[in-house]
Amino acid sequence: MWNFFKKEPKKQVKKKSLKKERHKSISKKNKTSNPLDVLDRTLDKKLKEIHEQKIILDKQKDIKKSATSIKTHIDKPAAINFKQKPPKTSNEKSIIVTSDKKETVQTYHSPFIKVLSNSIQDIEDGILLAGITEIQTNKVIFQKTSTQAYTLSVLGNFINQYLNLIDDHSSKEKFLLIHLEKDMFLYIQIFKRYYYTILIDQNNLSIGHVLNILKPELIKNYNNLKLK
Amino acid sequence: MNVKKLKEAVNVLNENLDGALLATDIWGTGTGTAIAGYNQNPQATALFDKVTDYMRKALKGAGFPDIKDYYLLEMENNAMAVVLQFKEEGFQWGMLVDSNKVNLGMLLNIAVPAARKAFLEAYND
Repeated sequence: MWNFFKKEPKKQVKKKSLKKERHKSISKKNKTSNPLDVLDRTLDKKLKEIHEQKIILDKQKDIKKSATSIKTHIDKPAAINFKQKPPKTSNEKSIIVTSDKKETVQTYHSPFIKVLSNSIQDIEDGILLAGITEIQTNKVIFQKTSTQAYTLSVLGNFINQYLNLIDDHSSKEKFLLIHLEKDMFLYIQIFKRYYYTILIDQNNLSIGHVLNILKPELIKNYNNLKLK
Repeated sequence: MNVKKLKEAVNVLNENLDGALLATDIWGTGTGTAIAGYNQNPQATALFDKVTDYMRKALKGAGFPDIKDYYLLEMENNAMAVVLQFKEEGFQWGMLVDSNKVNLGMLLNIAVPAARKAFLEAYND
């Protein structure tokens, strides 16, 4: 009895392995010949592809979600800031620079930033937003608060569309003045390479001051750079 | 809309600007076609209709308030374009002005409000 039971599992193992081998040999044969197996493999491939696509879609959904949350985060403070004075910083030089050569870029743009800083230093109470954007690249090189970079780049698209529409890319400076709701004026001074965006609180700064004092001051300071 | 009064409104603007008005057009927003004007320029009308559309979209996208009464563009050869907005009525009134012949105070504080009033009177008649 003992021997019988002891030998039996061995036999079973052998049988199993034989079965496996047989199955292997059949499947090897079928790999190339059986159409069902070919179909099976294509289905497997398709499933894999679908699975990969699902992963990509999920990732895209996540990105979209975070983008909308960023946008609402940006929109809300911007809307609130219209009636509030933007927080003052000592230098007000929050430049967006992604490269490692931050200092070089900052030095390169700093004269243009100085033009704006010098022109608005006495009238900051009436200014809700100020920024400088490079026309060709639509890159914001200066803004007063971090929430304004998005705002300025959206406006940048419009400026490029506008310049294309009027077909004027000349070096002559020109301005745009938009009377906005909520007692605001948007003043955009366009130069050949940069444009300066200034959002004005009409209750604290008159449009006469903008056009008769600020505008000539900006142009004078900018032209002085060219002479240097 | 009283067309006769609308033409009178254009004449009022011309008088107020005292020779500085180079051209003007009143057009339906979105259509870009004029219903009255002086030295009319259909291409300019269509173009400024598009500029307004781009501008409003950009302002909205940037989270800014919408255009209120007008916008002003400085152009080459001492020309200045002012585009009045009649959002509720669905019209725009564009004018090209010689900035050497009229000062901004006269333009924005006298000519523009008078033109706005005259248009609304014609529209509501």
